[in-house]
Amino acid sequence: MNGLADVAGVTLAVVRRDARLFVSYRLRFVTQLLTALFTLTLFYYLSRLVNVRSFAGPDQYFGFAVVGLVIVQVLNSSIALPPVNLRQELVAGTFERWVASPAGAPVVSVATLVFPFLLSVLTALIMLGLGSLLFGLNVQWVTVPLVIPASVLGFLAFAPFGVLVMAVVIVAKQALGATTFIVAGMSLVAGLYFPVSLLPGWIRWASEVQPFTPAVELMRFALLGRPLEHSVWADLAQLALFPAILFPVSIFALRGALAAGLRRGTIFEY
Amino acid sequence: MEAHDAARVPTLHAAGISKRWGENRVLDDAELSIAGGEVVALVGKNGVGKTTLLRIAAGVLAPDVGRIRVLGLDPAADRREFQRRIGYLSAGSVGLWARLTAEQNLELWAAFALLRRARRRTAIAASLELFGLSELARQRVDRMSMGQRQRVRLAMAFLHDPALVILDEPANSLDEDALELIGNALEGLVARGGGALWCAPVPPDAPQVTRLCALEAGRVVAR
Repeated sequence: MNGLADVAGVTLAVVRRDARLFVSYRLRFVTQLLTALFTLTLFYYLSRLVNVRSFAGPDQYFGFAVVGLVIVQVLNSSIALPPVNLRQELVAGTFERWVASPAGAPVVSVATLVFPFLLSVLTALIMLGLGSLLFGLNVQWVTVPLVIPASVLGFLAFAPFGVLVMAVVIVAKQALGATTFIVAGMSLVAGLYFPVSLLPGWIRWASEVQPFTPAVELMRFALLGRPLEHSVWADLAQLALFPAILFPVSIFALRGALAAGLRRGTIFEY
Repeated sequence: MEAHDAARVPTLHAAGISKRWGENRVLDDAELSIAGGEVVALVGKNGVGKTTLLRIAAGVLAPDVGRIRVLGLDPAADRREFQRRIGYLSAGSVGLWARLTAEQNLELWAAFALLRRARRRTAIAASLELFGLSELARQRVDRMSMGQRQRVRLAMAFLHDPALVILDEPANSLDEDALELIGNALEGLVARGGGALWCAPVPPDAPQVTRLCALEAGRVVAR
């Protein structure tokens, strides 16, 4: 492969395909918007009940929860969706094409993560817009540009988990239990819906050893002006460290799973 | 395609291939060689392991034992170049993105096949024409008949100008006119020094076939 140019070409082709498939289901985007609206409404009214020391008032908790919901979108797109999509490719016999292609299954697999991420960013922006317009969410526009590096780094940090789950699907054919466990676990320890300071001391370490907590904190800082526990640079560095370590590990695991799939014939499910 | 390579080494060389599914030894020290310009038909009863052998030859299944080379290329050492030289039609009617058009399917495959951007348009148009799909290029695959889908799959197999084309029951769902299109495509491939492996339960009625083999008890035997 001619290096990055070919990888970029394959990624672009896969993103274009996924966009075409997405728009071919005409009601999908509408239902996604409605889901976002209902979720915002639910959390808005839940926030009216919040009157605790951790938050200045219901509006502050609502903003806190909205950013958590935004991160859940990205979390789902990078961890929960890839195995579902991969399984569809296995059943449709198109995964065999990835394997038989000169580009190779690892490159195509990683490329399939991009469109769901872009879509989750769009959905997140719409949620923020709706939150702001309909429910008075107070977005700090001055620090909003920081969202761009934080979300890109966040995606790069989350994506290896998606690649690892894809590796599991190639070998074991199913990974729904694993993704549910990861997303639910991260929702708890990364402070998506409540501050991690409320967690008992024995589990608090878990909020420091994964990339989701710094991503959430950076997003809350950028969007709501909520103070950071560490500095911006410390959180960005922590976020950058995870993909640097996890990406090579996840690609190694994916290649291992593919080698096993080629031996055991688990890439054919049709 | 590199015709000079094809002249020097076999297009396909499979040696000592064994594969077991559980207790069932499907392939047992199977050997198969295809030279440039040859179209080999591989026949055999249902379940004897034809598809298994084809998948191994196409690089999408690893043998338990044995080695496979396409123009001397080892899939384990240089997978990209190995796959670049193979056009593969898998068994059944799978491997298409059903909600995309025929042309969009070929565009995607052209990207996966790492065809240079400048070459893609011409290659896609040529492949669509080769299989009589020019009029159907903008039709979604899930709105096509089974025979038309099979032609889209064939167009993908020939799209990137491979040196070896591996076809698993290509005549499925095809009418006489479409069978003639496969013949034309094979003639073009052979003229460029390429080779083909055509797998079917019974000998195909195609004048382009130059040699007939059968898979019996896990081995390839001449017919």
